[in-house]
Amino acid sequence: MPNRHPHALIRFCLMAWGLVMCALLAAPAQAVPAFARQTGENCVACHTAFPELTPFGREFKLNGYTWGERAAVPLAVMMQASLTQLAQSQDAGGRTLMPHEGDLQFDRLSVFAAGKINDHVGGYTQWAYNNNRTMGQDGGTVGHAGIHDFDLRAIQRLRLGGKDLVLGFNLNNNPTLQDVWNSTPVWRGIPFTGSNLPRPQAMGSMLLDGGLGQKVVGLGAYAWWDRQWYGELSTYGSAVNTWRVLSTGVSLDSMNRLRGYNNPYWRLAWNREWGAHSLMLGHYGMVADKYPNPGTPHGDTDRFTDLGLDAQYQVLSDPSIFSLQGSLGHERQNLRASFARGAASHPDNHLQALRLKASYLYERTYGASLAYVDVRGSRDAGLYGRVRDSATGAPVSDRPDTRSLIAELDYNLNPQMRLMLQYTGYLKWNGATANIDGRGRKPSDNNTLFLGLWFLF
Amino acid sequence: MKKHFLTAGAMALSLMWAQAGAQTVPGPEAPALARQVCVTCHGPGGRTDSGQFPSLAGQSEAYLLAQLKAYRDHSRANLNAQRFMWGVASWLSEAELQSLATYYAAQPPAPARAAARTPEQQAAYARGQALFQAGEPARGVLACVACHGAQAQGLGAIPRLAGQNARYLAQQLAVFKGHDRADGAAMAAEAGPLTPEQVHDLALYLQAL
Repeated sequence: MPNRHPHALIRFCLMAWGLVMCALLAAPAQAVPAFARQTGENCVACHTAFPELTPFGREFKLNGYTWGERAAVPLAVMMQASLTQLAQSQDAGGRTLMPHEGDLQFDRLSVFAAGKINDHVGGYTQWAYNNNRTMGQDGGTVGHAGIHDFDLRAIQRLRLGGKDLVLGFNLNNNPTLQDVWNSTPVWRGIPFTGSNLPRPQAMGSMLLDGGLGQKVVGLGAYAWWDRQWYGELSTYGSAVNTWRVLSTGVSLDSMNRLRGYNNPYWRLAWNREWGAHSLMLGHYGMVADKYPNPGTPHGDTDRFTDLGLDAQYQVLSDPSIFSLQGSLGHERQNLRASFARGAASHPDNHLQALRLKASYLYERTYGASLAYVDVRGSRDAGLYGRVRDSATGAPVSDRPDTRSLIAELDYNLNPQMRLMLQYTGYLKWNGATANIDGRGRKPSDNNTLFLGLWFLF
Repeated sequence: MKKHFLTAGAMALSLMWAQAGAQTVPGPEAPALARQVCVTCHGPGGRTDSGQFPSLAGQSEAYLLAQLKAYRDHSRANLNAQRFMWGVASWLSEAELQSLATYYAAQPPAPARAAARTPEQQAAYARGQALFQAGEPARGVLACVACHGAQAQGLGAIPRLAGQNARYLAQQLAVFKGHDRADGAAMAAEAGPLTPEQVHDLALYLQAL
């Protein structure tokens, strides 16, 4: 409803102003989340622009968040507010595809408990209330509260071959949450955040690309040698029974369930830093046996084998910071269980995703990013052919292929507060370049404009 | 069985946590501290090509100690000091500050950076050399050589400048101009009259020493 937009914009500006005032009233150097209070460092020591890590930030995380002095109150808060606009928010039948379009939304409130426990153990956990998790029956949205991140580490510093070695154990609830480079699924900024509102979603997504977040428990060991080689082996299982706290807020009926606790995840990375430059070339992978029906962890399973190659290059100087991230993921899907149940048309499929991003940050204040995402996979009418042409009844597509370009402008009022304007343009949607819903909708009708405010203290 | 393996692992993690307790374990000493923490910005052995952070290798021990203390008591208050060094210095004991200063002073200095190649750079290098050796008395700029030494090697509380990255040197001259270093009254007087071109020339000369 166009006449709502000016008021929403005014409300957004008022909220932005209020948050700016909060930020200005906060103590200048220390008004940053718990890790900054623990280390006494400014946010920019660990982050180029949060959540992207600098070499110092990576070292801090790999050392188990143990640098600095233990804080008396290791808490931090994050708030997100936004406005989202879809290029075409209604389908041909007049049905609204996204609630609260153009409305100011207070999206998410997160509370972090974060910090060192002692000189060998540290971690953080994030609990979040998401105001717009799902679409409600009244056309609005339904909120949701639960755990988001959990990352607990125990580390030991040793010497091996005359070089420094950090050995660590890690317990987490999302594979790649433990990673320190911004090219793996959880922390890659391609983009890191976007609209929170329920809206049309593309189908092609690998299991590692968010399919297991807040649903699993993983325990692993890692080694970081000579600040050059990183190796990790972890094993994952469903966060149920003893581990249910790590999936708090996720309904067991809708939880992707893994078989057993022996679903391995591994990571190998080569890292090099010289002067203002840093480069990482890496590989990550996971093999997971997942039950086809989320609510029924019995019977045969599908096997997902995810393999990824990733790279990151950063130039950190004053006043410019430049970074490049890229990842190429390939997922082999052995869908024997889904195929037997008729949910997939083929027992063997694959999915692959290419993601590239370039970012520039000036004076740690003004940022611009450009990203490209290309997901493509094998044909499967059972999985991807459910959308049919309204006139002919034929499937619109039987592929998951989706391609998009994302452009983002950032303004960091200070290291704790970011205003971002993000535009996502779709070139292809679920295998189709036209008529994506069978009623004449174009991929570009899903183009999304997102104005977001991010505030931490 | 596999579930038990994961549970056992988590219990081991908890045990390590409990074993380590809440007592404060002494932090790593230099050079371990230097290798594990300082290296991320100042490079291995205190030698870096970063224009944002200085090389520390071969720097005067007295100067290093004075600066570390100035970070800790916040009397060195330029922006990057606040961002990066106030926090780190706050974790360190007196003994750790001293051991870091001793360690970096004993490291071989960074080699001289590329000398001027183009005719323009050669001219700038020559101007920088002249300024370093003779100053510009007419404008109240003393000869740098008088305090920093013939090879800009530094002495006591006067820092070594030779081989330091030109961008860092220029950044610090700007800091002195802004009076953001409590120990910088003398340098503020020297840096004040320098033109941007003179800062550029001087930094180019010094990084090639």
